[in-house]
Amino acid sequence: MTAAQSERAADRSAGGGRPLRVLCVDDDPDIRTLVEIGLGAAGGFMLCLCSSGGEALAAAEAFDPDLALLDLRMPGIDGLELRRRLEARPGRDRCRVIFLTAATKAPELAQLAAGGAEIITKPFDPMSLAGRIRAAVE
Amino acid sequence: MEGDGAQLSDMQNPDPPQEPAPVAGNSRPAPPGASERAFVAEISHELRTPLTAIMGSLSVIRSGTVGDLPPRMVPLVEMAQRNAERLLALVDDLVDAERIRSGRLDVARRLVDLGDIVRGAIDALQVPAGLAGVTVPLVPAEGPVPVRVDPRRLEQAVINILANAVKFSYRGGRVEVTVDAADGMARVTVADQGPGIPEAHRAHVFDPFWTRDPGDGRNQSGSGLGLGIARALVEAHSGRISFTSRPGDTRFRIEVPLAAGTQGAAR
Repeated sequence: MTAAQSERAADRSAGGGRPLRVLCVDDDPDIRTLVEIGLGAAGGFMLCLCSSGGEALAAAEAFDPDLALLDLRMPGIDGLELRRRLEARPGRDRCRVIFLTAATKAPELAQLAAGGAEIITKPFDPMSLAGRIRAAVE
Repeated sequence: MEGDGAQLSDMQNPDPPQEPAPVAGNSRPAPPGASERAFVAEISHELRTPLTAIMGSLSVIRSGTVGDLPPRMVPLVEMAQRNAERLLALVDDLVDAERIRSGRLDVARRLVDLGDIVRGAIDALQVPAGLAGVTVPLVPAEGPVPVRVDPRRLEQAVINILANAVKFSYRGGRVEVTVDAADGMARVTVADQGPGIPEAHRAHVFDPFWTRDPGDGRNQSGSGLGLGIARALVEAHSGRISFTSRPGDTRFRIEVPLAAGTQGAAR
């Protein structure tokens, strides 16, 4: 699935206002599906789903995300490198980053926290994901 | 507080970075246990990812987002959720057991009320206790019982002790939890009305992977890691766990030092 194909409006609410644009990058298709269902059910989000860092960088230019939800461990460009490259783009100050990770190593998590990163550890509840994202951007 | 110096240094550097894995031509040996740590970390990661899909899907199904769940399916979905949570708990236990074994348990202390920790642990056990038909009343201290601990870690220890008491209780029984302080120590006592621990088993209660059959045909499978982890967590707080047992009255007691300069509330 290409980034263009996976981009879709997840905003099913009738409410007004610009939906929050979320770039979700995870190499596991099941995780992307859960994110899509969780944010779609909550409403108020526009979602771009990508399976790799390269795909995400290509999609980010057009999608212009407000927030990136990044798997930490991915083949090729990992989550940390992807954040660096996303932040190197013009207008990066508008894009917040939340890492999704199944890591349990204290140094790895401490390093992320020390850098001011938001972290959601797996397993996470897709039905509460919207609330956590909104809390992160407010 | 005795032992705090070492603990505080652990807090500042709770889990030092791992050495790189050995490569061909590199004469530097891997540190002891490095391959086991890497293995456990990898297994944990690889199990958590599919568990995310399983538990997430079940949560979506339960929410009704993808359609109403027929009432007859609700207990089946709940069963799947409970067992997925058991698997996750086992993964967490394996990670903790490896950290304990290698002396890498991270403990980040702060001043808290032991009563709050115990209330959190009881809340966490409400669902399994309810399913087992066991009530878990709290006998609180008269006031705060201040301790300087890692709240998450000490709550985990109390949960493990509570879970064991619920597991070995009869349906309709009660597990009474008492919080108090005496002789400079804050105490949590967990008393169950189960069959008691046979004399021959008492020396093995905290051994890793050691389990015992309650002997009444109930399915009480477990990893056998919970009590050993609880003891290690309490000892990491300069505390101790002890127990007494006879049929109908088994009491596990967790003791940790009261926060320096405080007396805590007696019951």
